[in-house]
Amino acid sequence: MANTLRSRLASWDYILAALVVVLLVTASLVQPGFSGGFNFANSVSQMSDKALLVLPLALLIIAREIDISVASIAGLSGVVLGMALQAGLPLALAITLAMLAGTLCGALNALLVTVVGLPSLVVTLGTLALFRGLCYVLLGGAPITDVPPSLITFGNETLPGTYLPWDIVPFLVLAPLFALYLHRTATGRRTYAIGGGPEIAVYSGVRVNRIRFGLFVVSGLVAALAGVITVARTSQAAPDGALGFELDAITVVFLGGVSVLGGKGRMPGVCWALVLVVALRSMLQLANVSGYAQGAAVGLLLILSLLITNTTHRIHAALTSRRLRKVPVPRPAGP
Amino acid sequence: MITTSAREQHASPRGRALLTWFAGSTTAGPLVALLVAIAVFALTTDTFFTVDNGSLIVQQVLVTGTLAIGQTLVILTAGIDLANAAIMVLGTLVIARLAGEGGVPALAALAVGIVLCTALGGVSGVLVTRLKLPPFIVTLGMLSVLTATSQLYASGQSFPVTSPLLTWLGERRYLFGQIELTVGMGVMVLLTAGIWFALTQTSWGRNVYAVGDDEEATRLSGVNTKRVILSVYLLAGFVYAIAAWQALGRIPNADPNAFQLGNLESITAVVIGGTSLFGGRGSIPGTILGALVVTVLANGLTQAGIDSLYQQVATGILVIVAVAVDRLVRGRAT
Repeated sequence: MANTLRSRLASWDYILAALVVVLLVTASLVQPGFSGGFNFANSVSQMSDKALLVLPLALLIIAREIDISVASIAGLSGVVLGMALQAGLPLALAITLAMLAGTLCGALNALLVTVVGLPSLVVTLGTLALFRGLCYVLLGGAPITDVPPSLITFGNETLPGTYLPWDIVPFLVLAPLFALYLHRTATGRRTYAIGGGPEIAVYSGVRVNRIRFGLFVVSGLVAALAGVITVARTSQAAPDGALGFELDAITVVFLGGVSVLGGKGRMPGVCWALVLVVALRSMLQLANVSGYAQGAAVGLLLILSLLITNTTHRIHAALTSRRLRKVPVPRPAGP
Repeated sequence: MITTSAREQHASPRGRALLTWFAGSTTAGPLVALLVAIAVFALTTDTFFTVDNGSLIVQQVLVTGTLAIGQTLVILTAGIDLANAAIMVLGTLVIARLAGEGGVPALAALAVGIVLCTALGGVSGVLVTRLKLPPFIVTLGMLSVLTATSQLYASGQSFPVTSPLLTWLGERRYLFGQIELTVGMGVMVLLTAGIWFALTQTSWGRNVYAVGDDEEATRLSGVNTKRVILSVYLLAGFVYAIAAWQALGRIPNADPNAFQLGNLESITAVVIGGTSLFGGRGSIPGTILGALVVTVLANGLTQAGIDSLYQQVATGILVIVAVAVDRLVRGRAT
């Protein structure tokens, strides 16, 4: 059983990888300018902050929780960064303060979910409004454009001699770490156990609430980092920074084969899904499709990705039940 | 157990009845919250506790309250609808644009809007029932698709409505020459009564509660649960269409950027109204009280001179506090 499960999930990774290759090849053939280095750098840089949000969100959804306040935390951290810079603090200290703000936001979510025992969907729906509201209260609607040149360089330049933008570097560093945590550590296994069945995990001696708490705090911290990148990329700290990013992040996680019910999904799949969404957005952008229509496409992709995973699960279930039926069953007497 | 019965023996029969009602009723909590909010604002501001402001609050509650009625139906089935305000906004845009530059008769435009909203509710319903997707994800996807559709359809414009039919719900009538009432209030009363009747007095309503409580058990006892859930989403879509009509009556201008917090406010109203997010428990009167609490708070904060920037913060805190209080009062075993 464990074997078939693993092979099925692995094959989902391969399907996604194949889809990515097909999309990339078609795009570079059909869309002039798609395969250019400039477009690569531009598309990757545009997704660099959303990509970061995906990592902790994947862990949370595997643990049968969700954090839809990530984009608001990123926005609030960006606002804190901007205000600290405006107050004349050095960049390093300002970034530390922004990260601290994000961590505190994550800790508030964690507290409400683990200590008070509220469902994470409602908690983070509430904090989504709360943190975004604080952005507007703090800034009063006007963005801070007083961003030091070094930060703007980080958000807009590529590594010397390459087409790799600087702002994707944090993701490239963190993604392997998250994959290692999930697939190679005991706590990673326990994360799956919580998602598979929280009660059973409790009775197996997993400190469920401690792990949940940690995941929400990490989510806040990484979201804060994403917020810093948003400020660097857009050269301003705006109250609506990173607005609506949670939708892209959630779409990527589900498209990557993580189950809505928790307990299933792998980091490689999530990363392939991320590449797929980056490529799709880049294609739409080159085809002059407006931002709103891109949003609609991502929303459709979210529903489609669930449909696909759902259907494959059902086909799989049908196949296994047919296999079971072949086993001779003693027939009950009578009609 | 022992302490409860000891306390019950000491309490007078009337006091005991009151206690039992308080613990068992879904409307007691929101009623107390509403009275407290009204008392606080009446004491701290001069302008809050007046006939004019009371009328204003009731007018303000119409849209949120109507959205919250639809939201209650969905949440009773253990679902959640994040797209309700987006469906309503698209409804207002389609009605206003058809009746305005489209030159379609107002009645036909309204009918198109009602059919559209109902159908969009149905789309969510089909995705939830036939394809067994979680309502939260389905409506999150719908929210982004519909928000984008509204923006593309409006292409940066807003559409004023002038037709008397479309603004009819905002028409004012005066009671005793003093108290300002609108036609929309009457529609709201009818809608509330109708949905309340359907939920509490019909077998369909029983099934809605049963499905929310335990879908599998309800299915095994012979109820077509998929049909019940689909009907709930369709009815919710229709209710959002009424909300669109109410919105046009209140402000005769369809704006794609309006009501962005509508989904959150309606969920807050439903949760404050004592409806369980796990389904199967809740009531329409509770939701109306919840919507009044949300509106009184927003109105009261404005009267107290607090910047409207704080309203999103207040809404966020309110939804968390409401769920937390619900959890503390009813215990963890929900």
